Amino acid sequence: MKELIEYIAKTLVDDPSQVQVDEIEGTSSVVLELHVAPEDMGRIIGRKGQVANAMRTLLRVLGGKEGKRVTLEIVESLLAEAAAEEVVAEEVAPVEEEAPMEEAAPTEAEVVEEILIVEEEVPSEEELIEAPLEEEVEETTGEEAD
Amino acid sequence: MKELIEYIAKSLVDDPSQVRVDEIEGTNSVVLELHVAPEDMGRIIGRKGRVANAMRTLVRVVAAKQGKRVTLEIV
Repeated sequence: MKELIEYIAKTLVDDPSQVQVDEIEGTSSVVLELHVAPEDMGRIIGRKGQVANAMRTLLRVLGGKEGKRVTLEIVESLLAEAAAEEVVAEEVAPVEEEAPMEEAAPTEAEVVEEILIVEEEVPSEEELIEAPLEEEVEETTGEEAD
Repeated sequence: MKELIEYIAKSLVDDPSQVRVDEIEGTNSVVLELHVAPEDMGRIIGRKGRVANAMRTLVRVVAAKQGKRVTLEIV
């Protein structure tokens, strides 16, 4: 199973050197982790996952022969994971910056005031909408009366 | 392309010795004829043609890299 996926993946990608398949065996199931270069992720997954699902279909047949369920996971290659960790570290930083903003928020009076302003504005909009409607109704009824 | 289908087919069937792929090349298109043992036809086509279509999807990607259309026939 591992060999089949490795062969298919290496045929499809632009960078076969970064293709690596790890096989994790359970008693009745197998997990295959397919690592490819980040640039090849699109090609190996395909539009709407068609290519990934094609590989899964073939694996299911192969797994069926051995009475096993096969799960195929597609992961960016190990070389890219080091770079991905840096990205994660950068993503964590803004989250920490957001926290003090939440602490600054609970001035309830300000929030209540904002709500009050909004509530005051809403009826005025409804009045504006209702007003022309009533006029139209009056006009039509007037015409009917004539 | 031929090698890919041959490899996939041989790993799926019960009788790999009877797997043969003929490649007929046109200018923009390629026809692949996959021959398997009669007993393996069911497995290679799959329920509702799922396995055949999976192979077609994969070979289409390879063909696209070469700017070609590919037709896979199972005989």
